[in-house]
Amino acid sequence: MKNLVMERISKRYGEKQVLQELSLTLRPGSVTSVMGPSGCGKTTLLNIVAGLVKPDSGRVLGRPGRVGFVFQEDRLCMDFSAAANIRLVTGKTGKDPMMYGIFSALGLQDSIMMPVREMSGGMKRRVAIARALCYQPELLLLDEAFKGLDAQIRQQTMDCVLKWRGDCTVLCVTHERAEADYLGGALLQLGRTADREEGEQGSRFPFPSGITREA
Amino acid sequence: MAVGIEILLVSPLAVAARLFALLREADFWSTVLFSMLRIAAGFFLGLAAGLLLAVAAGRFGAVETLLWPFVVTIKSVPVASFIIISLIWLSNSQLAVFISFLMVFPVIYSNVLQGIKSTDPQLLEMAALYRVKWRRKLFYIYLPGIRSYLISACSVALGMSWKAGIAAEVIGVVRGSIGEKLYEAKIYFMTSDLFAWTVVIVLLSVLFEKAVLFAVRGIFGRLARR
Ligand SMILES: Nc1ncnc2c1ncn2[C@@H]1O[C@H](COP(=O)(O)OP(=O)(O)O)[C@@H](O)[C@H]1O
Ligand SMILES: [Mg+2]
Repeated sequence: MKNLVMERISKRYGEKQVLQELSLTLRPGSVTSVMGPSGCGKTTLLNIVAGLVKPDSGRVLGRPGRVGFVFQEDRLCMDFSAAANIRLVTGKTGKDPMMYGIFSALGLQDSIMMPVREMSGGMKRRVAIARALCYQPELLLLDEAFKGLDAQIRQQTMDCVLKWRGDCTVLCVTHERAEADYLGGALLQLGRTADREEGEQGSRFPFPSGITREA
Repeated sequence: MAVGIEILLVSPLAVAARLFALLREADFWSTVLFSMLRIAAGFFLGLAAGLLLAVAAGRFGAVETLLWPFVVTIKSVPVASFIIISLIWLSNSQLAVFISFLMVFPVIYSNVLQGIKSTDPQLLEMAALYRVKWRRKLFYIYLPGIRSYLISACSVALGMSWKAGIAAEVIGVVRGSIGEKLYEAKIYFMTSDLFAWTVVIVLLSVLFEKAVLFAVRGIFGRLARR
């Protein structure tokens, strides 16, 4: 497996320079957390890494074929069951032991056939996480994936991600220092001054990424 | 019979009496069946064509561009012109099928296409990222969004298919049809017949609409339980 390399990535929306000359290298199987204030470009960064948004300049090298993404929104098919939402991305039609394992680890084993529309916000969040894990991605992007979960369930959910991610590379955006610490690995601080000085980015030190703690 | 003073307006009682008399007439049910089968056939053909072509147009922009002039023409040409053109071209007995089809197709097509276009772009982005196959995308993402558009389109199209279908039968004096009965009522000044048949048409149209909407809702409900 190759490194995932972001090379001098810049992105602006209108007047606002969201990302400027950002470089980052993720080793295969590493966990990296990204923190920063609202509007500093964290979601934009994940979108560029996933290939959903083109950067104005710079490039992403070594993006694997299978990318799992827990979006900031749930983006679930509301009219269908949790299982159907998983089937949508896995394509598996028969029994899926991995799906049952993941749902159990998330405490959702009794809600597999429940229509997503009837679920609480926290349950939807976990289904979105389950979907990304069941996809068995080589790169997993998490955009505030654990937000809105209460403490105990949040820990259970993070344990599930660490257990079922296999050896995939993880890039996780979060607002909580504690979450980043719990997931382990490197921490990237984005755009500390972006809110105060318009268009100005915080200092971007070259970050030694890919130093994974034992999960 | 109530011919005489009751030519312009008839009492509800006379209409009811005529209606019950009609029910016992030998050719009542065959007349009803004749028109209903043709109008329903036109409706389902229009529904199928509208759905298929809307899906095709949603996927391939070229299909939408190609169909656009036809859809606009069908929508804006008066139905009477179509009826008369069809009388020249088509066999008289299948007239209502074609006219009903023409009424239904553009309504279903335009509404479903609009439903497809208003699909949540975030869900589509998710599906693209997870490399979801097109058929699955259609089923899980487009179809639920089409639901409300399709139901309201069906409701509108059903009423139109009955009105235009019967109008075609009247103008074409289609033998053995409800339209022919209306035509006879007109030329023989049988006003109570006219009203009685009108009641029959309204009832049929309402029942048909209820049945179709029930079926459509049932199909979508079943999808959701997967
Ligand atoms: N599609 C877009 N069009 C215009 N502006 C955008 C778009 N996406 C993001 N932005 C702007 O870019 C900035 C960074 O957005 P985002 O990456 O979502 O921040 P974060 O996820 O860190 O809160 C915000 O100011 C936002 O308004
Ligand atoms: Mg964000």
